[in-house]
Amino acid sequence: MALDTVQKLSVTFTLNGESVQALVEPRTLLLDYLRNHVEVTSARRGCESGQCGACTVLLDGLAVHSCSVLLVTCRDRSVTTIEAADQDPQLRQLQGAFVDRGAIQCGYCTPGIILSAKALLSEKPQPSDRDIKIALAGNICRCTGYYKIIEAIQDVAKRSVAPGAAGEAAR
Amino acid sequence: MDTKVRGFEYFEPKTVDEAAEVLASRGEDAKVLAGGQALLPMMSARLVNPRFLVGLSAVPELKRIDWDDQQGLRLGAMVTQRTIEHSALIREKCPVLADTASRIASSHVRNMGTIGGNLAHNLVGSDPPATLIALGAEIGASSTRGKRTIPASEFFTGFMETVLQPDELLTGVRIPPLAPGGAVVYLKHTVRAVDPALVGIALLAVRNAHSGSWSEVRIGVSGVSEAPLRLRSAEDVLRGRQPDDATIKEAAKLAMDEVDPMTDAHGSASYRRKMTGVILGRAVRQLLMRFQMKVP
Repeated sequence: MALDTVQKLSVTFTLNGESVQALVEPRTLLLDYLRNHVEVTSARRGCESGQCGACTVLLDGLAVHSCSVLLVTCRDRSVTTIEAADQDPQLRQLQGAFVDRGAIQCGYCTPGIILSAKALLSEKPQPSDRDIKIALAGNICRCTGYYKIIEAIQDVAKRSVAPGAAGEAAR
Repeated sequence: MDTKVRGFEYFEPKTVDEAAEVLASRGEDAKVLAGGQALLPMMSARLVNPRFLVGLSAVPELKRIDWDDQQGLRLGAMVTQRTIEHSALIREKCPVLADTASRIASSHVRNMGTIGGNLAHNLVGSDPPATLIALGAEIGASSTRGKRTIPASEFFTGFMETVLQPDELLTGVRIPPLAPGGAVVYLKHTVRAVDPALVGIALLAVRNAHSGSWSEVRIGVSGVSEAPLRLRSAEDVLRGRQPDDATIKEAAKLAMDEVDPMTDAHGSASYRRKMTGVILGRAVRQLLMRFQMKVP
């Protein structure tokens, strides 16, 4: 396609609570947009084939691989990355629990795993270890910290046992 | 570099008819984007480089789920695997389909991936095809030339190939109601839960209430041939009897002869062939238990 005929589409969506208007080529992946257009680099480039989960973000609250989503299909939808921890106490709790439990080594997979954990806790505030394993099946940690990761997520789940404390989960 | 994906012109139809119009003139150079979980990784790797992409996310009629006592369950092509896994209606009317969806890849993939995209790509070791073949499902396709339905057992024609023509859009599936006395099971054999099936077997049987024999049997299998298929010779052995140990061994042997597995990173051809017999035996025993019959 010649330069002057390149199709560009306007996409309005919500990124970490703020409305964003993007003008992009339709081939732009959500991951490309986050990293290259708005410098949200917590979504990591990994396998780029929907297997490793380093690029995990939440789309309308569900964990997805942002390498396998076109930005133009995010119109009027809500995208959450780990940067939302500034406004989200549960994400901050998860970050703290990961540090406390040593559930973090090189850190490359961590934002994606914390977002997958957030999606799980929204659906099942008191998950079993098996629920956690299923929810994290799309996230690979090559430092092999899985047991500590499960413990960290259980720490946060147990803290929210008190009625009302699981405010986010009631959504 | 902005993105690895090559440029294309994007179309965003609002109806099936609009999508069919686009495919009628551009189908040869176009791909259809459903949930993107198979297609976008292939486009990122530049294995697939369409000139035109037809995105279906704004076609509401493709997201419908309907139940009718005569016709059974209808699912639009854009119903996600997550929805199939969790829908109360599907869990009630066709629980094996929900179980099958729950075995696909990871929750991340199931959150975006759709039944239509899954079937149209026909990746080796995909879970839903085996179950849909056993259930006797039909797959719907639409083009400007008209509509047609294809039995699931005739839809998959080869490695990543189906009967769909370049101008056709997969619109959905219809699963007939299970006959009284019927039961279905889907068993997946794989090393890691997120992998494609080394062997995926769905077995449907209808038990005659008086004689106890299996009056109807259908077996769908995935992962052990270029394309998912129906294991007719093994069905013939199981039909009209109450399966005992000898019947199960005979059916397993015929199943192993009927498949033609490939070797890939997940498992060798000989291992897949052997496990086809093992998993079929387990499926038969599970249904015998479900029917509260004697399990050999």
